[in-house]
Amino acid sequence: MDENIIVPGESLADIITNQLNMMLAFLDRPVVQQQILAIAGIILIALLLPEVVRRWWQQRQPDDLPEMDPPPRRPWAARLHGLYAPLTGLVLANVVIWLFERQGHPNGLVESSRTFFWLWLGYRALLMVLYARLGESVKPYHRFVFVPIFVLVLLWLFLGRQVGTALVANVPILTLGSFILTLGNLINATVLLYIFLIGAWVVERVLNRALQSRFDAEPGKIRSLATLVRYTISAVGIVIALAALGLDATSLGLVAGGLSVGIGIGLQDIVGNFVSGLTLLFEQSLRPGDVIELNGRISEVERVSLRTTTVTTLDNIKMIIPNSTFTTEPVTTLTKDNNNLIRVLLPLRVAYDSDPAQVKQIVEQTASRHPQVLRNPAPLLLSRGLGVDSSLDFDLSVWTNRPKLRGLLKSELYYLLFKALAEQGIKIHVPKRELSIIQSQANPPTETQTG
Amino acid sequence: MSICRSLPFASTLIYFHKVIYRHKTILLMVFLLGVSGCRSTPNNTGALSGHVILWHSWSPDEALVLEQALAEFRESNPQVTLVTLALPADDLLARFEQSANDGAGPDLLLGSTDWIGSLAGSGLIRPLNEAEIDALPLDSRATRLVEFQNNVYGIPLSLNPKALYFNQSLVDRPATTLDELLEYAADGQGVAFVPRFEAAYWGIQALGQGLFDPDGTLNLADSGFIDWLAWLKAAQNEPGVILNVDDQALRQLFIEGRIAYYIAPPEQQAALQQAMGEDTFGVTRLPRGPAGPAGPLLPAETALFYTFSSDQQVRTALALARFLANQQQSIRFMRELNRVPANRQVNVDPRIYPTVSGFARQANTAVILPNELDRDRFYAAGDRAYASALAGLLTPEEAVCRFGQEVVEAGLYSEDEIILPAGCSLLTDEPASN
Repeated sequence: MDENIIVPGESLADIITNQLNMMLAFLDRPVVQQQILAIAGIILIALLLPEVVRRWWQQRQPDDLPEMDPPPRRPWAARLHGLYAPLTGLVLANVVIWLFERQGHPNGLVESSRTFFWLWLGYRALLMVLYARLGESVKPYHRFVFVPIFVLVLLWLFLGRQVGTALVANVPILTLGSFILTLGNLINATVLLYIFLIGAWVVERVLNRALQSRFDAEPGKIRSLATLVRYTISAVGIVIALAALGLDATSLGLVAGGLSVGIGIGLQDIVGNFVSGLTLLFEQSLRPGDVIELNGRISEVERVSLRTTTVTTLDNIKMIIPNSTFTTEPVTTLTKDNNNLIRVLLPLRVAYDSDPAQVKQIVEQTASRHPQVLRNPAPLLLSRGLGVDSSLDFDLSVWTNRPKLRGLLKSELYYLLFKALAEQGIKIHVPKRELSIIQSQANPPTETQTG
Repeated sequence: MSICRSLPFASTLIYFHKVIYRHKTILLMVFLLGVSGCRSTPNNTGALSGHVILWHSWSPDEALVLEQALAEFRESNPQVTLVTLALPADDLLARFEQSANDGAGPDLLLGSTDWIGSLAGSGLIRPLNEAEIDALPLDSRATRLVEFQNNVYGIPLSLNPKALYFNQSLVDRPATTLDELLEYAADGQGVAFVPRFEAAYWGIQALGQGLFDPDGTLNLADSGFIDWLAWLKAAQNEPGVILNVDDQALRQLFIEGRIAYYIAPPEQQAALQQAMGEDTFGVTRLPRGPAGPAGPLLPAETALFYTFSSDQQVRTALALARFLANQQQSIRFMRELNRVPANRQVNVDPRIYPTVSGFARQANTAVILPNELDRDRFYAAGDRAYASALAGLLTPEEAVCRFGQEVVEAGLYSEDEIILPAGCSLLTDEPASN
C-alpha cells in the first residue's frame, strides 16, 4: 500500500466516506459498469457451465445400458470437478480481455479477475492434491489455514488496486501517550497473530505426527514437547504482533504496568493456573496419557494446556481441571516412570477346611489366564493368615499395564475366581454365626461360633 | 442496458439450485456486482450532480487551502459529491496510470504539464472540444502549455519556472546580468545551482537564440547552447560559483547563508521559509545575458481530465477546473500558498507578493517545450551534453553536436527538423570539432 497524505483534521469516518464515495464515482462510469457486468457474467458462467455440461452429458447416455459398477475413481479424480469453475473462468476472462482490447476499452478490472481465477485454480489444485494424498485429515488445515490465507490474498489484491486504502490504514484510532494505534497496525497485528497462532497449531500437529511415527518415544512426552513448541511459537507471535501494533519498549512497559494491576486485582487465578501449566509442562510431572487418581476418581490425562488440564474419567466424562489443582493438591499418578504398571490386590477368603496349596494353584492359574494380567510379575496369592472368622485369608496380587481398567480387571478376576473355586469344590468363606440354646437349670444358654 | 434488464430473469436459475446453494456466497457477490454495474447513468442536463474524484499531490497544509476552495464549490453545487485524494508527488503519475486502465482514475488530476505527452499519447487524458475550450480563459501561453498534437488537454493553474533566490541579508541589489553574477560571486556573494539540462536550461537564450525556432525546428546552430556550455565551463572554476547536482546540499548552503544566490522553482519557498524564516530571502529574475533575458523551462500545474469519466463527471470536472483556475481562487492560492497564478487576469503586485512576483516575471520569459517531445529522453541527452562539457570530456561544440546526433538517433527529431551547429554532421560517429 502506498503512503498517502492525510489532510489534517480528516477523521476515519471522513476517509471511509470518501472511499465509499470514490467507489460510487467509479460505478457511475460506463467503462467500469461494463467491466463489472463482464466479471459477474464470467463468474456466473464459470459456476453454472460445468453443471450444464454434466447434466447434458448424463441426458445423452442411453437408459438401456446394463447396470454396471462404476470403475473405482482415483482420489484426485473425485475432486477434479473443483477445478472446472476456475478453469472456465480463466478461459472466459482471457476471451473478455481480448475483446475489450480489440474495442479499445480499459480492462484492468477484468485483468484482476483473471488473477483471481489463477489464484482460485491454484488453491483448488492444491487442495485436490492434499486431499488425495492425506485424506480427510486435511480438513482442519483447509478450514483454518488455506481458507483464511486465500481470503487474505484476495483482500490484499483487491485493496492493493484501490488507491487510497492506505489512508484508512494510516488513520489513528487510539492514542495513549506517545503510542498511536492506527487501523493498519491493528490489522497487521491481527493478521500476524493469527498466522503465528495457526502456525503454532500446525507445527504442534505435524510434530506430534512426525515424531510419533519416527521415534519410539512415549506419546505423552511427544505431546508435551509439541505443546511446548506451540506455546513458544505463540509467545513469539504475540511479541511480534505487539511490535506490529507500533508498541515500543516504553509503550510495552506502560501496557505491562497496566496488566500487572489487572493481574493483581482480577487475574491472579488465571495467572496462577498459567504458571502451574508452565510448571507441569516443563517438569513433565503430568503428561497426556497419564492415569491419575484425583478425589477418588480415576481418569486419564488427555491434554495439558497452559491454563487447564483435560482428563477423561472411566465414565468417559471429560473434566477440565485448573492446573493449579495439580500443583497445590496431592494427586496420585498410577503411571509414573513410563511403564504404566500397577499392582492390583484382590482380598480373598476361603473356607477354613480348604487346602491352601490347592487354593493357591487354582487362583494363580486362573488369574494368569486373564489377558490383562501380566505374566511377569506373575500373579501371586499371598496368605494373610488365619482369619478370625474361621477362614483362610489371602490377597491375590496381580500386575497389569492397563491402570485405567483397574476396576474392571478386579471385577472380571472375581468372576473367574468364583467360578474356578466353585468347580473345585472350594467354598468362599461366608462368615456365619451359630447360636445354640441349651435348656438347663444349672447352666444358662451359651453362644458358640463356627466358621 | 440489456444485460441489466435481463437480471430479474435470474430466478430461472432455480434449475441449478444445488449449484446455487453450494456457491451461495459467490453468487450473492456476483448479484451485488451485477446490481452495482447496473447503476443508472445520470442525465446530462440541469444542475451539476454526481460523484467526482480529484487527485492531487499538495502537501497537507496546501491541501487545507485547497479544501477551503472546494468547500466554496460544494456550496455552489450542493448536488455534487467531491472526493479528494492527496498522493505523494512522486507517486501520483504512477498511481494514475495504474488506476486509469481499471476505469478507476480521477475525473480531475492536478498534475504537471510534463505528463501531458505520455498521458495523452496513451489515451488516458481527455482532449477538450471546441465548445469547452471556448468556455475557458486560455490565453496563448496557457494553450501552448497544455497543447498536444493540436488538442488542448487541460487548464493550467499555476506556473513553476526556476528563478533566482537571494539572501536579503547578504545581497543589497541582486545581480541582473551573468557578468554581475560572476562578479558578485567573486566578492563573496556565492551562487549555486544544478548544472543539468532541465535545471540550467535558462542560460541558453541569454547567450543566443532559444533552442526552438518559431516553426518548432530544433536550432542548435543559432541557439546559445554552445556559448552557455562554454560560460558554465568557465564559471565552475570561478570563486564563489558552486555547480553541483546535489540540489539538497546546495539548498542547505543557501539556508545556512554560505551562499547568497540559489536557483530553484517556487516549490522550494515553503521549505526555505520554514528553515530561514519570513522575509529573509527574495526572488528575482535569473540574470540576463548579452543576447537577452534568461529563459528557464516553464512547467505548470495543470488540471487534467480523465478519458473514461462519465459525461456527467466530465461536465462537473470541467466546471471544477474552471473554478480552481478562476481569478478568485488563483488569488487565494497566491495569497495563501505563494503559488504563481497561470491566470493572466490576476495582477501580481510586487509590493504585496514580492516573491510570487519574481517568479511571475520570470515566467514571462520562460520557455515552453512542446508536449509532443519525449522529455525524458530529451533531458537525458541534454544532461549528457552538460556533464561531458563541464567535465572537459568534450568541448562545448562537441557536446552540443553529440546532443543533436543523439536527439536524431533517438527519433525525437528528424533530420529535417534539426539544424546542427556548423561542422557537425549526422553522418559521422565522432563529432567534428571546429
